[in-house]
Amino acid sequence: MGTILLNRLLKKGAVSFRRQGKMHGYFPVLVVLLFILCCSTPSSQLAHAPGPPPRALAALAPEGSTLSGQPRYFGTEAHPLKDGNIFNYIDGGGMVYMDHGFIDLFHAEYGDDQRNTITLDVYSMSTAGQARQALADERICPAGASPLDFDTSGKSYRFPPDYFFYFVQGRRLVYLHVSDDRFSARLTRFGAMVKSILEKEEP
Amino acid sequence: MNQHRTASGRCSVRVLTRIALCLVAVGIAAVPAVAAEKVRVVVARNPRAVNDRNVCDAAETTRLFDQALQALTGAKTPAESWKLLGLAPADVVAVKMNCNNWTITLSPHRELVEAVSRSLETVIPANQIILYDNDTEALKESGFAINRAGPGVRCFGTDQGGGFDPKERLTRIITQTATKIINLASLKCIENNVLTGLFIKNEMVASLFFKNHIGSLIPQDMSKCHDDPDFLAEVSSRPSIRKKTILNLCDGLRGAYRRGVPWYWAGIILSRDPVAAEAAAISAMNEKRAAEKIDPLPLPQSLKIAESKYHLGKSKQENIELVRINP
Repeated sequence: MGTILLNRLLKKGAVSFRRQGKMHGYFPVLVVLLFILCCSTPSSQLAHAPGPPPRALAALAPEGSTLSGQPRYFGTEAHPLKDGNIFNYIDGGGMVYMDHGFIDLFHAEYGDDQRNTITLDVYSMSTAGQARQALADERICPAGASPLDFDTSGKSYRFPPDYFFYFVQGRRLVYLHVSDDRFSARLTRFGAMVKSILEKEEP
Repeated sequence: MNQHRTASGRCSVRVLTRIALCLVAVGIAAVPAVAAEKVRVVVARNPRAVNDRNVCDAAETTRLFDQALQALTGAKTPAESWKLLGLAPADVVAVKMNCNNWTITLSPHRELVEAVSRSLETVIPANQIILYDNDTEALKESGFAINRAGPGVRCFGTDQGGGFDPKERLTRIITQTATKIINLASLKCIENNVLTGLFIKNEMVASLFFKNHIGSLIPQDMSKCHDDPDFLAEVSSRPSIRKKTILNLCDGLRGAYRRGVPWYWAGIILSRDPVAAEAAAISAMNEKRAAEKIDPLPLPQSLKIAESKYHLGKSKQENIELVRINP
């Protein structure tokens, strides 16, 4: 969040500075914030080139369901993937993920014989810290969440007929949704499987 | 020479000033007549149309739409209503939907879309109706059967819509194939934190009817809408959208009053005016937000620009005739 605030302050300060042609009141604040940020950012959180989600993820399916079509991959505007960029997937809703260092998205849909659908989205962020910030951002995870069985820092929501949850594993923010909340236990078990696969890719 | 130029310049300025004054006078005289003309917006609700598991009752949804349409036009039958809206038997109608399954399902309800299609079929054959969004996959995921060229109502994405018009940078579905457009938006809000001074303020950043046409754009231009409210408003002023749109319809059977949080409003909003309809939709969300003790959403910047710069409609209450019905 500090990085986002700083970026926006810098942009706004720069515009004011250009418009007025003199040092604006924001400038000292920016310098202080920049200093604090530089001092507080651990080297482990610096952005690095991420790899794609593990191949095992694409081969996975929830019990009783099969993969519908092919998994889809979305990148950024600067680096689109096979299916385009994040805005092709969620329109303006993608902005908030960009704020948290979004790199790429793995998206898969699964269906069963009763036409229930399960959605898996794995958002890769530049750093683990950014993934955690995304989980804490109420624009992504609204207030009023319940904890998850297999990950107490995860957040779950029941809005009948929807049931969905988010959790973080490393620098991945994972979202899982089932179209009928009566199958929430099935979704939870699938979530635990996804988490264990992602854990294996951690150094 | 310079003096001559200056003198003639002064003369031109005087003439132009007089012309301008005359125009202002004419404008002032005309204002009462324009101001008196209110835009009608119908807000129709029927709690029997949808249950608390997002299952629609087809008959109740049809009744809801039919009565709302007649309340909008004052006609006695669907066919008369469509004719009053400018629909003719030779027309091809494109219905722009917003299929959105991200986080919570807020795609248009199939029962409502079917009610609209059946109503249109009182004037045009089913095959002259095209349901579209930008992404064919999103249409499928929302439960719509893809029908590119078979009999019956057609349904496909702009990715299968014959490309994009190079001048308007819009899908050829609306620049070339369709002669009329229905803008079918979903009742939803996307909020964003906006920095004002040193404080972060929660504001609505995306709109309903205007944002819906992001999906009509050539893909390279879509992201321009996300942080440029002027661009977003301008899209709806392009000739094909401006001239061909006969109805703006908002599906609020299930809506979101804050990002990712749904509620069953069990209503629809109709108007010929996208600005007025959008203002009414935001007002509906704000009623819910007030009940939940959340700050009201302001009118988005794009809506203000659509009204003031592109003259696409009216947002002020005094210019809107709000008709509430509960069929």
